Amino acid sequence: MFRKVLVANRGEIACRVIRTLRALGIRSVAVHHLVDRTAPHVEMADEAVLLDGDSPTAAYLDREQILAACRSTGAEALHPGYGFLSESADFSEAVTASGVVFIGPDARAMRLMGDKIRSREFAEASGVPVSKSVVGRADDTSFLDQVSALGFPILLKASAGGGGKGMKIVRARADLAANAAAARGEAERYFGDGRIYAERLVERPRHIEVQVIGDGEGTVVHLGERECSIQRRYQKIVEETPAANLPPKVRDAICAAAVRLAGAARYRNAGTVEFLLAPDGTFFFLEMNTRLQVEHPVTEMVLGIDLVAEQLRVAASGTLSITQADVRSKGHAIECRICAEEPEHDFRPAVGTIGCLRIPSGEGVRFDGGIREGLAVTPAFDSMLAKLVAHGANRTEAIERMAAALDSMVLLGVRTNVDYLGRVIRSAAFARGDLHTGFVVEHADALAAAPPQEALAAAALAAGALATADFRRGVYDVPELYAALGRWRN
Amino acid sequence: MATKLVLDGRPVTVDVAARKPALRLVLDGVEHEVIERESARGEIKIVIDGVVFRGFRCVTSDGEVHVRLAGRTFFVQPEDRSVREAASGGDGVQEFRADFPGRVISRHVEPGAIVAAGDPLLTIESMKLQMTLAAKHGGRVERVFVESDASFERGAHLLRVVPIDAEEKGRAP
Repeated sequence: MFRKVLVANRGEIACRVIRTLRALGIRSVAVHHLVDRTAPHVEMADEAVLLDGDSPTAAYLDREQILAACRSTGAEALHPGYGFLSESADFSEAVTASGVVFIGPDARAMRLMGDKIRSREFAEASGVPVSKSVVGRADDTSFLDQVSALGFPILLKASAGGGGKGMKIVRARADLAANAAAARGEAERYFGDGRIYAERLVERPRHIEVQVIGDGEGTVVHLGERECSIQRRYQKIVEETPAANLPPKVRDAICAAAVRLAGAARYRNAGTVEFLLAPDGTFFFLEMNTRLQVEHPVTEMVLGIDLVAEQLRVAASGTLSITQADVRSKGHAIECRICAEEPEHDFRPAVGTIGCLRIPSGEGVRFDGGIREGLAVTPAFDSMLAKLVAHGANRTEAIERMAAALDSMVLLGVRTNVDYLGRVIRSAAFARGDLHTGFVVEHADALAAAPPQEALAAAALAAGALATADFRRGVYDVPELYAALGRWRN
Repeated sequence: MATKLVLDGRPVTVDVAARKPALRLVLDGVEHEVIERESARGEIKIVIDGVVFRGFRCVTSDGEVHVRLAGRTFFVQPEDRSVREAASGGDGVQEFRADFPGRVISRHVEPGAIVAAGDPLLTIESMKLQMTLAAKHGGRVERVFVESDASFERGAHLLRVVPIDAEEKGRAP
């Protein structure tokens, strides 16, 4: 096993990787921009290397400086976390060429999966279903036959354009010709190009992904699926495993497809294969993420496996320490991403300084964060501050534990989605497991904050008013006569 | 003299009815007996007419108060912090300013453009998220203060939309 590992990241994921390094007795090296000099990941690591950069993000993306940090500290391996350089094949190659082990897949697999078109072609060739599409002319009957073969409902749009212009949903073969002709007309009018693009429309799709880990020689173990359908602005905010109400046959088929794909790619280390699942149980390959996912803790909670430790073992030895038979899921786990944002204003990001922080604890509750009181939340980085994870014997218990954990979470000084997440977790639709990627939009009204009961609103207003400078003076800084009568202060 | 505050985006007033023998505040039009205790590290106890609420409180550098009670977060601002929004509703002038630093992704309108409620004006990015500012009411784009791809600081003027009728009134002799 390695003796020293450099973590080329920041925030919660750097802290999370360092935690495992410590547990395994491996020395950790943090890298950081000047703005992060007192950040938790720097304080946690055994050593820290300062990176220069015009912007904080530029520093964490500076390959040369990070490679130099590996050399100067004698790190034998590098963990990229997620984001930043984690999916850069060139970086993986440069790290390897410099004699340092890149804890992730090789550059070949990253290039294969990093390209949307190549990865889809590879998936199809590996027997993994992909969403098919055809491009052609509305007056061509063989094109219409090809379109019908995709299966209904079908989405038609101008091949040349975007923005929803000329977009049609066709639910039956009988309506196809007329709609295709209309779509062509609009395509010609708006874009001067009458060709139309058709794809199978997946309504109320679910986002299901499969965690895999491979040895690079074709052996791949899957670590179950995760459902990540609760999204806002196309980014996940709530994830869980196992996926609710997923028929065992569908689950097995999706996991088998993921193993097939990763095996065919001779994938090494941890990765995630993402699928879109239609209500009828058909599913399509979306993409493969060639790194540790943000939401990996839910998998760890139900399997009792430390995924970062597994990543380190594969990287160090080239072999997997677990077989498919070792993988046994227990209970249910849910993760909520705590973000600095304002859900009531279209989830716009918020900034500020964390003034008051209480981290929830309790049975089955895990908090992955890299935050503390006094920490400035700036627009320089992603708005995700931490992840709250709850594990229970079943989904109901996991929901109850998550709801209680969110209630006891205190993070003031910057606006967050903590209350919003609580409403999602407590919603009837979430309890039913009636999930799809349009959940947040579909249930917008039900997920809005209800007016607080009168006494609570009065208490909140009193607490707020008594902390505003002018009002507080008016209440407590009373004239001397009154003061002599015994003014009280707390 | 009542103090004007904003509770979760809603204008409210607070006033002192009595300090002795017990503190009595008029909160949003209703008088209550209030006891406030604050301990270290932001913990508070608020008693409203004998009902106890325990929670947390923090004042931001902008003078905004964040209150956490009963698993719920409340935001209390002095009124002047929200004047901007109120004013833009009042005379119909829509002043768009940056609530946080960011970058302009694209300008959807040029000065002089007539826009309807909901029309996209400017797409900006901050903290890796994009958002599109849209007209709240119809009007004419008077000025766009930022160029495409330009960075801006918190509080920066971005764009101003004026009502068409107000503009004509302004021109009248």
